[in-house]
Amino acid sequence: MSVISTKLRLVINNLSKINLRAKQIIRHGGYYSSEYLEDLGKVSTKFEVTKDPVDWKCVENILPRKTIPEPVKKDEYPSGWQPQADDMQSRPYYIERTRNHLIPVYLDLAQHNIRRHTIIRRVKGDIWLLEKEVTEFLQTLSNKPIRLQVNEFAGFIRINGDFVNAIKYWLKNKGY
Amino acid sequence: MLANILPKLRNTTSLCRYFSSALTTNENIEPRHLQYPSVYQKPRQIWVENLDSIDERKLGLIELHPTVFAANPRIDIIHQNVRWQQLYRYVSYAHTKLKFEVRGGGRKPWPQKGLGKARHSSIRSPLWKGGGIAHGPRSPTPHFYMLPFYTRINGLTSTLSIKFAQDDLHVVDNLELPTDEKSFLEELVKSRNWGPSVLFVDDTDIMPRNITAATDEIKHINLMPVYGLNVYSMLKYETLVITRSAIDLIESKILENLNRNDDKTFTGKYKVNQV
Amino acid sequence: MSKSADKALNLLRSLPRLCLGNIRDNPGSRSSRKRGRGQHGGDKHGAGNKGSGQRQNYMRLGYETGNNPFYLRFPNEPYYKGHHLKRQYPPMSMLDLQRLIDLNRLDMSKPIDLVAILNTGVFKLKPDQHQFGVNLTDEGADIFKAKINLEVQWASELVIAAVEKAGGVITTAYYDQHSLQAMLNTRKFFERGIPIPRRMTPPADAIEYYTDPTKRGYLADPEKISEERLVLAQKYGYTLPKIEEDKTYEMLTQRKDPRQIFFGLNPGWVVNLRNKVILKPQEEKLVEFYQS
Repeated sequence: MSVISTKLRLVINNLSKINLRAKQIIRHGGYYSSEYLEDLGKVSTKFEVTKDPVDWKCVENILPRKTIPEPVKKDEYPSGWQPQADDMQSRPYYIERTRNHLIPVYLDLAQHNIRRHTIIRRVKGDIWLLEKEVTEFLQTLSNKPIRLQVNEFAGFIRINGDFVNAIKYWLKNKGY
Repeated sequence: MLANILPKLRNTTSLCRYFSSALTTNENIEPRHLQYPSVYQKPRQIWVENLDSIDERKLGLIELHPTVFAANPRIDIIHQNVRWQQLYRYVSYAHTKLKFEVRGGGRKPWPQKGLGKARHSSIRSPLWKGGGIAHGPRSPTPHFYMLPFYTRINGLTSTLSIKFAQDDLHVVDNLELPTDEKSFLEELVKSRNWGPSVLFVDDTDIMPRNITAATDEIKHINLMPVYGLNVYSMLKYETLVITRSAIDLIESKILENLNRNDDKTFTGKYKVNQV
Repeated sequence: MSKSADKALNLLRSLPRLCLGNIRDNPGSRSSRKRGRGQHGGDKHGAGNKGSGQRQNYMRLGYETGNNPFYLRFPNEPYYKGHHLKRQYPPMSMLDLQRLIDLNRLDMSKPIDLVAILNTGVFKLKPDQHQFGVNLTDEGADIFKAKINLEVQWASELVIAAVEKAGGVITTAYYDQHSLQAMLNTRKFFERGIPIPRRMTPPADAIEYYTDPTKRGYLADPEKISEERLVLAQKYGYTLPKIEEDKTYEMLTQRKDPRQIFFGLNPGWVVNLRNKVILKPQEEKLVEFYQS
């Protein structure tokens, strides 16, 4: 490690001898203390400008995408993710996937994790039929009565209790 | 109530069939290709109209994306957007003086004890008439805040959907008028029942000469590039007339922003001093 | 089939035109900041009687009315010495990685390194908070089935075994703070016009990890790594897939130079995104520096 640091020190010392605008290092610099950009004029350091397509392809590979890509159709998805079924037009209600193509069922925690609510968002169509089916399904899992709130206009159902995984499993089996 | 509905009935399908031979033409209007097609909602259709003549001519039908033009009409989100647009650049210059700023009041008015009067240390305390104000406005007070990103997009889609649903949205192929006289435009707007105030939206900020000259003199008919489209303006003007290219732009912008990859960079708290 | 949005839009067709004068927020969403007056909101205005509560003269947080408070009772404990200076590797599970591959967010046909993971936008890294990269955890190691060329910063033995069982290749590599800042948002970094920095060698306490073939360190001997692959296959009981006979062998064996941050781009180069050109230094001393 010490060998590397002495080598670096040598190189940096040599660098300062080259005609580069080596600016004074300002620690904790701010907006008002920074100098304006100046045109360096004729730069005497030798450099080449290349337009190699192989290099440019490497650059394009590492630039971030602007929009989220569409998932590709495969036979099996090992992570357990499942794309939505194709027959959504004929369904009475529709649960739209999120922009990341996942199921919009969330856990709402409050009061130091004592209050646990499950929220099914992005519901379109006959939300009352979905409410009926969900209560039927969840009643088999719980002895206590299933308490829930339906907001038809905003398109969500808020269920008292933590049934996130159960509802995700149920929706996946239905093809949503 | 009936007076509100009758003008709107003009554009419904039943009456259109009666007028169709006079109003529609066989001009080829290129069908639109919708990005991110919606699975559950069907695309909406709208007539493309002309601005060449005072009489209305329907040039063809184009499709509109349901996520943008048939979104849930959230009146509360529209209100939040309008409030934000009005407040974020508002600076209040109301100013009141504090007790040390009011002239005088350095001396104790009367001794602490012995007089039978209440104890006071200055005549300009907030208790006194003419004294300073304890918690009053202090100028300049900015009311800047940023509405969350998706609330702003929701505001745009809700307003566009409401304009489309209430028949106040019209699509034209371009903003080329035959003359630059303002009477032509006024007659056109009146005969088509477009409401007194009209907002023409194009995709660029350089507009054709004739329409610029005509609307220059009319205060309630204005031009706007699509990047300036906002909730407040869409509600202020009764009718919204958008060109077909502007519709392409606004739809693609909204849909791309709804499917962005890097949304974690701007969904957090808005930092004024950081890029 | 009635949809609530369509129901509402249909309703609006017969209602008056929406304008600035007939919109409002949801009732109860906004409360006024006015001072309460009258029997219930007024009198003491919720501040109680006398004391620091009514006089807004509160005791400082943690104060225990005179006795030695809890936060001052205990001196520095030796077990957490230097915790604020330690390197952190925020976790990402193999299940997350598999999900990203299934959702087409990560391209299996190209090497997956920290840059690729950061570009998905799913993994957040904060280098200024002593976070040095990805720690791949073993949740989802049983269902992992992707043949990839993976480069992470920390991986346990089970994770390495799971990746190699699927037919892939895993390496652990170190990136210093400057390199990480460049990798966070490559577009922003190139727009700064700074030459790509040289990746620094790991610090003294990390060198042991990154030169260890059992951890598949990038500074380790490749021959010893291939020996360790066999050892792991025997330990966890799977047949080691022969990557030499694989079609994607070239991609799987692609590796970065210890001084390289991005695949295919050398340190010292300046990328011009606007004109789509790359500026490469030719000055002897610069070339020597960037190649050392």
